[in-house]
Amino acid sequence: MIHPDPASITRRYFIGRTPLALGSLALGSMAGEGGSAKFPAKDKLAPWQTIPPRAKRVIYLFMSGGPSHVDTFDPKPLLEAEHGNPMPKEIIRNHEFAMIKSASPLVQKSPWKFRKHGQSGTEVSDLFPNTARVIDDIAVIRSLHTDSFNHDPAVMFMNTGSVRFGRPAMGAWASYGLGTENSDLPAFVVLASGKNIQPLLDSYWGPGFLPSRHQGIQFRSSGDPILYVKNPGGVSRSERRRQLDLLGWMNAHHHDVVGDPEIVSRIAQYELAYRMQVSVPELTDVSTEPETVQQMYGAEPGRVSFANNCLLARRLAERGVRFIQLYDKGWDSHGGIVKEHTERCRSVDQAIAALLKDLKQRGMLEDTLVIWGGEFGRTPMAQGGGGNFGRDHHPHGFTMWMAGGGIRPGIVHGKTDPYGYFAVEDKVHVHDLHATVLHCLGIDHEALAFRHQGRDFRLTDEFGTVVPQLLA
Amino acid sequence: MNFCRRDPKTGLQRFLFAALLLLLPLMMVSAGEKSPAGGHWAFRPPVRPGLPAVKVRGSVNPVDRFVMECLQREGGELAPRAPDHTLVRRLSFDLRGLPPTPEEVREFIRDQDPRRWSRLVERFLASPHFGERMAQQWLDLARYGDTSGYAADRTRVVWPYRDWVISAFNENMPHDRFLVEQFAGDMLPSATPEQHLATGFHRNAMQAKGNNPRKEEFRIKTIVDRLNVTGRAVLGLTLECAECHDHKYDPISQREYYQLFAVFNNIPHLGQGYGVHGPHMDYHYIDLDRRVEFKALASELEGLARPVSWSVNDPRVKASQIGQWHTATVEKEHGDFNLKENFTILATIKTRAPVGNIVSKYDWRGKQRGYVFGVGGEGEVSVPKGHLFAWVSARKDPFDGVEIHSSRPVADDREHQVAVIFQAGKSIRLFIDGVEDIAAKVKGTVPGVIASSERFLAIGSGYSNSSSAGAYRFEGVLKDVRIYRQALQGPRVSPKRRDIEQRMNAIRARTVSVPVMVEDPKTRKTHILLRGDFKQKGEEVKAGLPGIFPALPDGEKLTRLSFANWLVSPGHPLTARVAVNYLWQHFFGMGLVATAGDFGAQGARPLHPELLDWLADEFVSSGWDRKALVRVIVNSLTYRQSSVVVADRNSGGRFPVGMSRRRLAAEQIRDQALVVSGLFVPVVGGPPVFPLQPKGFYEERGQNAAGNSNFNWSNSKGEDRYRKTLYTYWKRMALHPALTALDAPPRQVCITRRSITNTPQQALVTMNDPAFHELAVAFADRIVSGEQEGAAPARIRYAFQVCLGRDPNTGELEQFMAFLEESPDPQAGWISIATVLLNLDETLTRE
Repeated sequence: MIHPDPASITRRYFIGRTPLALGSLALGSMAGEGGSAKFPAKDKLAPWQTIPPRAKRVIYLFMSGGPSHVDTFDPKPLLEAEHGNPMPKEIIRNHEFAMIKSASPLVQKSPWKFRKHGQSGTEVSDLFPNTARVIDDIAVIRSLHTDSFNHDPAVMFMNTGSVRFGRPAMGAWASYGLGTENSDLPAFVVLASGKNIQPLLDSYWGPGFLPSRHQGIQFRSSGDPILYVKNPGGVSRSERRRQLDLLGWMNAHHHDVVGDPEIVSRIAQYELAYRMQVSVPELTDVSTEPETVQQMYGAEPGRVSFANNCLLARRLAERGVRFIQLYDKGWDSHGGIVKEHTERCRSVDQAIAALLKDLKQRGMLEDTLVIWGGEFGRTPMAQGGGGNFGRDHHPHGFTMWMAGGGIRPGIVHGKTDPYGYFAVEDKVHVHDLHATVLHCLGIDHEALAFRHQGRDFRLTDEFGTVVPQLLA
Repeated sequence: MNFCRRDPKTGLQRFLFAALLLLLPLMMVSAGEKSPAGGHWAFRPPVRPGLPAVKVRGSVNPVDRFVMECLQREGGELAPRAPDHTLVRRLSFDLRGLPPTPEEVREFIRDQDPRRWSRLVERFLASPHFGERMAQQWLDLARYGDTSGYAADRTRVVWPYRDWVISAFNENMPHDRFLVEQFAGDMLPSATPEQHLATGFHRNAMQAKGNNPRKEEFRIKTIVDRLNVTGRAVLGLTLECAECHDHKYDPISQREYYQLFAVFNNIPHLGQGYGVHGPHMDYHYIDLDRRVEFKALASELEGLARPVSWSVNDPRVKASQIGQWHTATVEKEHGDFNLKENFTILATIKTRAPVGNIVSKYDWRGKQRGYVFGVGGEGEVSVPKGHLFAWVSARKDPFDGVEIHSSRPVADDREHQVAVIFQAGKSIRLFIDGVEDIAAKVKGTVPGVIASSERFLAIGSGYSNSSSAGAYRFEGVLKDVRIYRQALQGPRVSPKRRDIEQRMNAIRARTVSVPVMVEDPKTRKTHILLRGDFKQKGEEVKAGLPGIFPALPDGEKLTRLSFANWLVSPGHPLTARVAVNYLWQHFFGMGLVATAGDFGAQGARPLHPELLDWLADEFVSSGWDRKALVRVIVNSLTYRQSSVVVADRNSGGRFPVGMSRRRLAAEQIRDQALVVSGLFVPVVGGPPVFPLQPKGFYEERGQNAAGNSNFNWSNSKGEDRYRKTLYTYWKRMALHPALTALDAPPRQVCITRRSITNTPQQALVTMNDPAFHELAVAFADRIVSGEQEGAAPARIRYAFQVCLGRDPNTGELEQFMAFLEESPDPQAGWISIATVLLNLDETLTRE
C-alpha cells in the first residue's frame, strides 16, 4: 500500500489554521459550475442590484389550488343580480374549463357578504374578518391574469415564470441574486400546511439550472424540522463533536496533500451542519414564543398548521432568511366551496393578520414584502349546483395582494369586468408581478439573468413590467 | 480564451486546411441563405487531423499526442502520474461506479507487468457494472424516471428500457445502433422485442394525467420534449429555442423546427381518464430473485434425456401426412388442404419477429376463415406478440371457433420445434420443443367441422383481404413444416422433464406492459404553432431536415427511421462529436466543448478542436465502438495525471493540466458506502427498489393522495435495500430526498451535466440519514470482525484499505488511535471511525 507522506509535501495551504476558523464561508459553494454570473459579495453589489432596495426579504403566502377572488377580495354585485342566469356567451366563448362541462354554465353569486374596511374602505368579504382589520397595510391587486389554467403548470408559472420544468423558482432567484444574510440557514425556506388535494412538487421550489444550493429547503412542522437534522440513535452531540474534530483534522491534512480549496469549503459545511443541528430545531420550536404571541397567531406547537408556519416565518425573517414561502393546500374548491373555503379561510385568516401585525410591531414590515395569492382564481360561474356548488379554475382575472417592503399600503389596483371574469383595468400579468417583486428587492428584473446552455434566462423571460402604482 | 488551435503546418494538414477552405463556400451555399452560421465549426463535418509529432521516446497514445503537443507548444507538460491507489479508485469509479476492493488495489500495486494498467482497464470494462455506470449519464440525458411526471406522477413501468440501456453498454452495442434502435427500433424490419423496447427512450417525456381538457396540449409537449432531448443529447443543439420563433443564434428557423416536429408527430397518443396513454408492449422477464433458480432449472434440463420425438415414422402417422415443406410457398389447389376435422401441424422455426404465419388458410378481412398457425396473431392488437397462436373457425364469417395463444414467446431467435394438435370438437393444444404448453390461453369453442376457406394453403405467409398470399410473412428460419390429417400423440416426455419445464415456464411468464413508440400508418398533419401555442395553428409543414445539415439521399422520405439513420450517417457533423464529448465529460468532468448540450453559436468553443475531431472520426471509423473509445481515453497518460491542485498550473489559461478532482455523484456516494459496509448487493437490472426513506416525506406533500400519484413508498426489505442506487425508484416529482441533496436530478427534462454542490444538507445526509448510519454500523462490524486477531492499529489499517484503498500514514494512525482510546465505549468508537471514514473528503471525491 502507498503511504502518502505528509513530510514530502510542501505545506502550501492551511498551515496554522484549524477547521473551526473557516466557518465564515457563505452557505454552500460550487465546484465547476458553468454560470457566467458573478455571485454578489456582501460589500459589493451585483450588476442587477441597480435599484434602491425596499424589501430585504419576502414572505410569500401561497394558497395552493386557487382561492376564489369573487368570494374574497373582488366584490361583484352583478353576480347577485344575474345569479342563476347563463353566463353571457360573448364572454365565455372559445373558453375551455378544467371541469365545467356545460356549454352554458350559470352565474353564481357569492355566498359571503362584502364590507368596506379601514380608512381605505377596501371591500373584503366575511371570509377574511381578521385580514380585513389590517387592510390599510395591504395593496389589493384585482387584475392579475395568468397563462395556465391547470394546477401544476399554473403553480410552476406563478413560481418560476415558466410552465416548463427546469427553471428556478422565484425564491431561488432571490437567493442567487442577493445571497444570504444568515450563513447558518438556507436563503430559501419552504413551509407546507393544509389539506391534501393537489400534491406539492419539488419543482415549485427547485433551483432549475441555478446552482442547487439556491433551492428551497423545506422545514417541517412535525418529525425532523429539516430532514436528517437529528443525530442517528446512539450518537451523542459530544460524540458528533469528536467525529467532526477527527474528520476536520483528516480533511485539513488531505487539503495539505491535494490543495483543493473545495475541501476547505467541505470542512465549513460540516461545521455549519453541526450548528444547524442545534439552531434549526431551536428556531422551528414555536412553543418558545410567548403565549400571547402564540395566541395571536392561533399557533398549535407540534402540529402541522398554517398558523405555526406564519409564526415560524416571522422567526425565519428575523434571522435573515431571504425568501420564505408558505404553501397552504386545499383551495381547489370544485364542489362544496362554502364548506371548503370557510375551512381554509378560518385556518389562515387569523394567522395572516397576526403576521402582518407582528411584523409591523417589530418594525419589520417596512423591509419585508408579504405576498398572498394562489396560482389562479375561480370562475364566477358555478360548477355543479345547489348547496354543494363549487367554482372552476380561472386564469383570466383574479386577485392577489401584497404588503410591506416597498408596497403602497391601503390601495386597490386594477379591476375585473362586472362579472369578475376578465381583468380589464391596469392588468397585471404574472411576469409583471415578478418584475415588481424583484424591484422591491432592489433587483432589475431585466438584468438578473443566468446563462444556461447558451442562452440568458430570466425570471421574467423576455417580458414583465414593474407596476409603478403598487410602489410606495 | 481557452482554445488550443494548431497552425496547420504539416503537408497533410495544409492540404486538409486548403480543402476545407475550398469546400466551405459550397457548404455555405448548400446550407441556404438563412444560414449565416454555415461557417460555424460545429456544422462542418469533422476532418480527421493527422497525429501531431511530439518529442518523447516510445509509443505515445493518440490522445496524449494532441495534449502533449499543445502543452509543449506553450512550454508546459502533463502533470505527474497519480499514485497507484488513486488511479485504481479513479478507474473503478469511472468504469464501474464502485470503489475497488483492497485486493484489487493490492494486486495492481504488486503487478510488475508493464501492461498492468491496460489489463485493469479490460477487467473493469468487462464488469457488468460498466453498463450501469455508463447508463447513469445516458439516463440523465434520456430523462428516465419511474413516474409519469406532473401532478399525478403515476408509476410508469419503464425499467425494462433502463435495463436495455445497461445491457447495450455492457454488450458494447455500436453507438449508431444504440441511437437508431432508441429512435426507431419499432420501424426496423423484423424488429425484435428488444428493439421495440429501446424506443421507450422517446416515451420518457413526462405526461400529464387526469381529466385534462388539454390533452392535445400535453401531447404537443411530449413532442417538444422529444426534440429537446434529440437536440441536447444527440445533436448538441438547443432546438427548443426555435419552438416559438426562429432560433436567435443558430441557423434553425421555426419552420424547420416544425419540420423536425413532424418526424415525431406520428405516435398514437391521446387517451382517456387517468391511465398512462399511448402505445405499450408486453415485456416478459424473470424476477431477479428467481434468476438463479431459473438458471439451475435450465442446467438441470440440459442433463436430462431429450424428449422422445414425435412418432412421425409410424406408418399410420405417415399415411395421414398431407405435405412437407422447407420454404415459404403457396399451394395452388384446395383439395387436400381443406382440413375438416382432426389435424396436426409441426414446424421448426427460428425468428425474432413478433408476427409471422407458419401455415394459413385464413383471411378474416376477406371473410375466408379456415385455420391459421403462426406467431403473433397476425398483429392483432390484443394478441401477445412473439407468442405462438392458432385460430380455427367453423364459419368463414364471422369467426366461430377457437383461438389459442402460448403462455410464453417463441420469437427469441432460438430454434424451436413448434406444433399445434387439433381434435375436432374436443381440444386444441400447442407444443414448444416437444412439451405441451399447458398454460396456453384458449378462448372460444373448438369447432366440430372446420370451415372450407377458398384461399390457397400458404406456408410462411397469410392473407389480408386478398386472394394472393403475402401478408404476415414469416421472417427468419422456417423449415420442416408438416401437416397431418390426424391428431397425433404428443411426444412422450418424462414427468421430471415436464415438471422442470413447467416450472421454468411459470418463472418466465412474468409480463409487464412498457410504453414504446409505434408509428401510425396515417401521417398526422403538422402545423407551425405560432408562438409555440398549441391552439394557434399556422402553415402546414411536412417532415424535413434543417437546411444547415446534409440532406437525405435523393428520393428518400424523411421518417423517424430515416431520421435515425441520418443521425448516424457518414459525415454527420454533430452526432459523433457530441457523443465523444459526453464521454470526455464523463472522464474529465468537463467536455472538450464545455457546453455539452450546445455546440451552436452560443455554446463554448472546443478546448482542442483537433482532438475532438480526431476522437469523433476515430469513433466512427471503429464502427462506433464505445469500449474502444474508452480504451483510447483511459489508457492515455492524460487520464492518469495527478489531480493535485497546483495553483500556478493553469495560469496560462490553456489546455487544463492535471485531472479534475470532483465530488462523487449521488449514486456513487451511496454505492460506495454500500460496498464499504459489505452489504452491497451487486444484482444487475430489474424493477426499481425502495431504499429507506424518511417517514412522512410523501404524505406532507400530498404525493400519496388518491387521484394523484396514488402511491406509497414502502421501504424495500431484504436485498433490495442494498442495491445500486441506479435502481432506486426515480420519482420525478419528489425524488428520494437524500438523492436530491446530493445533486441527483429528478430527470423531468434532459440533463446534460449535473451540478456538483457542497452544502450542509449533504453533511446531514451522509452523517445522519438512518440509511447511511446503518451502513456505517455495518462497516464498523466489518472492521472489527475483518481483523479479529488484530490489535486496534491493524483494524484501522484494514478500515483505511477498505474505504480508501490505501494505508494510513503515521500521523493518521496516531490520530485514529488517540480517538479510539478516548472513546467512551469501544463499539461506539468503531462506529464513529466508520462514520468519519465514510465522510472524508477523500472518500467522497473521485481524485
